[in-house]
Amino acid sequence: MPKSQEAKNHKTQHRGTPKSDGMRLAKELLRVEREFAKMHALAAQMSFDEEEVLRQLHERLRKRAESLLGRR
Amino acid sequence: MSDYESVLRVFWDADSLFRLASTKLPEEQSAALTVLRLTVLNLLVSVTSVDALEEALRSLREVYRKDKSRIFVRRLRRVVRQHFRVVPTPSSKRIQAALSEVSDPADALILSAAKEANCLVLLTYNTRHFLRAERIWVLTPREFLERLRKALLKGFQVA
Repeated sequence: MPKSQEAKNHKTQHRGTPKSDGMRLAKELLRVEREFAKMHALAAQMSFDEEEVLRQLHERLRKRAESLLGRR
Repeated sequence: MSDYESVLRVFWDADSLFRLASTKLPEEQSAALTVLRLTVLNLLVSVTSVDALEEALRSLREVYRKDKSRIFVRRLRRVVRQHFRVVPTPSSKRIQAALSEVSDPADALILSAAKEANCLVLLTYNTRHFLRAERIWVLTPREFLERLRKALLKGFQVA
């Protein structure tokens, strides 16, 4: 059965209505929570020396800075 | 953001970005994520530098196998793109100037970027390296939240 013009208009209007700021924020927060929960679950399964990883990270930043300062 | 200038700006060091994505310490994970939540809600502005971001991403690539590292890198990149301001590498002159407050060039690179971005807070796990830093609060994400809680209470106490 064909849809009435009124029903069609209602659908079009609904599609065109912008999401409220609150709704957009809530969706974004949910997305962030979900993604980081998955990442943290994956991280928990891995075995790595966190302090050593951060030490190496710092060392690379030092080399980068020294190169910018023309020390290498 | 409607009133950008009046919002607290917080600079994320590379180690804080790494721990935001991946840490085995639940309290640190929760604190970093809470700072991110406050950012998403526009209660503060998160800032980092291209150098800090690149090195945090590189560490994630090194820790995780190919397929998993792609997940971490893509998600951290996306959250930074959407919710952070990423500032460029500071000039060598600025880095050199920062060396009067920190002894390590790596810390000078981070400190100069944070100051150039007018950040009042630097989130790092190397707080001991920044003891001489001036005109900036150097805190771990957990310490930052603790200070924020106290400031909130103080802000609403009746005189």
